[in-house]
Amino acid sequence: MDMQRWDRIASVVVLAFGGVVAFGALKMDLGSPNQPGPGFLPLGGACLLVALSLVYVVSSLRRAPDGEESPWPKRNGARLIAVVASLAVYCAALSSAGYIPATFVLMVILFLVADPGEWRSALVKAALSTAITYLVFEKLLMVQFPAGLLGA
Amino acid sequence: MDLLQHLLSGFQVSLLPINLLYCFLGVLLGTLIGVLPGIGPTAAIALLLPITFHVPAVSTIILLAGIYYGAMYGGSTTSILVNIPGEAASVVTCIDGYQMARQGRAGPALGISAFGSFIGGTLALVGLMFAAPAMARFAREFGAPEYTGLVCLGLSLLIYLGGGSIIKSLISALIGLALSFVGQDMFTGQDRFTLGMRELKDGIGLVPMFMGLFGISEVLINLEKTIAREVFATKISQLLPSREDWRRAFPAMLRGTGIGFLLGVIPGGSAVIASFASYALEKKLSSQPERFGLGAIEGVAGPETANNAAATGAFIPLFALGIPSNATTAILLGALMLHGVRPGPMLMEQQAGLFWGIIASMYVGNVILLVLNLPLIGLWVKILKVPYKTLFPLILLFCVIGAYSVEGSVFDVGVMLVFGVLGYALRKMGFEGAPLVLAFILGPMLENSLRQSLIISHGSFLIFVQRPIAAACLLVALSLLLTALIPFVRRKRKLLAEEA
Repeated sequence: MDMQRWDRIASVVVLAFGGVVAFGALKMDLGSPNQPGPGFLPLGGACLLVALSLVYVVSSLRRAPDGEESPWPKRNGARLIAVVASLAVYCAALSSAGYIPATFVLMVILFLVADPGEWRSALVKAALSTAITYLVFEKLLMVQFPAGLLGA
Repeated sequence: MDLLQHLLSGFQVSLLPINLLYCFLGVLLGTLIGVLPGIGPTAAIALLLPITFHVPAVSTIILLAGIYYGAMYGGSTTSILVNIPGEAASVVTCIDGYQMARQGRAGPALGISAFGSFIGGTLALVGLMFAAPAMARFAREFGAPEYTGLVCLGLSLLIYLGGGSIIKSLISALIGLALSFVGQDMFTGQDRFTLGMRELKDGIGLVPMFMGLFGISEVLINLEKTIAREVFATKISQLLPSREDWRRAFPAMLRGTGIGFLLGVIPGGSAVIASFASYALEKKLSSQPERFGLGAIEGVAGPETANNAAATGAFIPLFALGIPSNATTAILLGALMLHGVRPGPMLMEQQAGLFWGIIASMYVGNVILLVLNLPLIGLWVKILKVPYKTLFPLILLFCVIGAYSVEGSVFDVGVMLVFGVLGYALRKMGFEGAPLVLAFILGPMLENSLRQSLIISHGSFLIFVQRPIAAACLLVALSLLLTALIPFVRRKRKLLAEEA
């Protein structure tokens, strides 16, 4: 899929976002021009956003194919997905697993993404980075990380 | 006389051992970030925000401002030695700086960029000292309608000078504005767009949002490509430029200071644009323009001076009006607000110690940078050899800890990740991040002043036409956006953006 098609998709997403904001604003008290309510500016902003995204939709439909390639990566896409997915799982697991186990696993994965197959180096670097950040932030700077499994 | 007294009191604040330490740390970190490709000053400041919560406001801004102008010094090192700019404002330095290095003149190129940065930074500070109080005095007469006009003008300038598609930049700004509505309404306390989540009652957190948009998305963008770094194998000797180098470079530095300062003051006129404008001017004024691109020292001195002058100039609208002119100063504004400091026309009276302390610290910081930069070039070259694959997991871990530690909330780590993915997608689709951030920061100010204006005028929008300053700001804002749609201007902007 080329850039032109992605532009069309993006324009529809922005249009939908504008619609959602407008819908949300309409459910609030709009007030009147001499006493604007909480929904007044959100509705105005959303209307502008919808109008602009319509211009974007039209311009992306009218744009002649110019051979501009897709903006998404052809290579390294799996690395990106692995990084984002591991961060998402980390967010979900941080409270229950605790800082030390969750961060250690996250860092092993990240270092493996950086250097696939280098298990030993990934384990050492992950252990070091987890231990150092725990000592500096939890013990020195008094940041209260979730204790999770180790706190039970 | 008053000015001198204020400045002396500022030095009393900035020379306190603790502030001196923060200044030193800030410029050192700034230079390091400038040297390292793949992480810019905006991301670095966003990453460090949470650490500064337990630090007094003045020390925080001394540290963060040091990172901002320190990065301008460091950025040139990679441009000259590796032909990869450490940060965007040093892109143009690659052209002649790298050629100088290839000719065995890496030393004078590094030396002149350090001196140029010092001259640009210091002279622009003198301008800042005079211009910020004058602008603040003028702005004291401003009411709600004037602030509405100013915010619109600031955003339009940023969009116009940004170089990207006007429609996409406007959409970015409106997304930022929409995100600023999340949380309780400031007039009635009613929840808006909180999706029933308690964590969103105070709005979207600045720190996780900035870390996501700038930190995480930058890592994701860099993960796509392999940054090849080959440090130029040349012996760096004789850092001090020769008399002939100075003769050619000094006028370029003075012109670079002027251009950089002016472009820094204008919202949207970033250090990046200043460095390109300075390079173009030097080439135009030169009697031998054919030397440019082949190692002309003016092509290094001018832009390196201009980007530092612009970085300093950008503090004027921030301090005097409370309106940031680019993404980095927007984050600095966020940092001030987190410390309960509201920049604006009254800042210099109500928080004189803070304002003059920061100004004085910048003088100190520029001296430290000059002293620090030249002897440490060998160290920076070594750091350049650290591969990105070792750095990025650590940057991500630092982002996670930073987002978490603000409120001790895992929710904020999720917010950061969402904005990281959003920032990545927006950048890939050609949407600018700066209008989004600026609109998000200025959204509450815009809403507050717009609603107040309408209450004052009993619902009449004519108030924005009847008040001359507000009318002028809105007229210029509208004209800028409309002229950008004229085909000739559109082509010119696209060309400039491609060059940048």
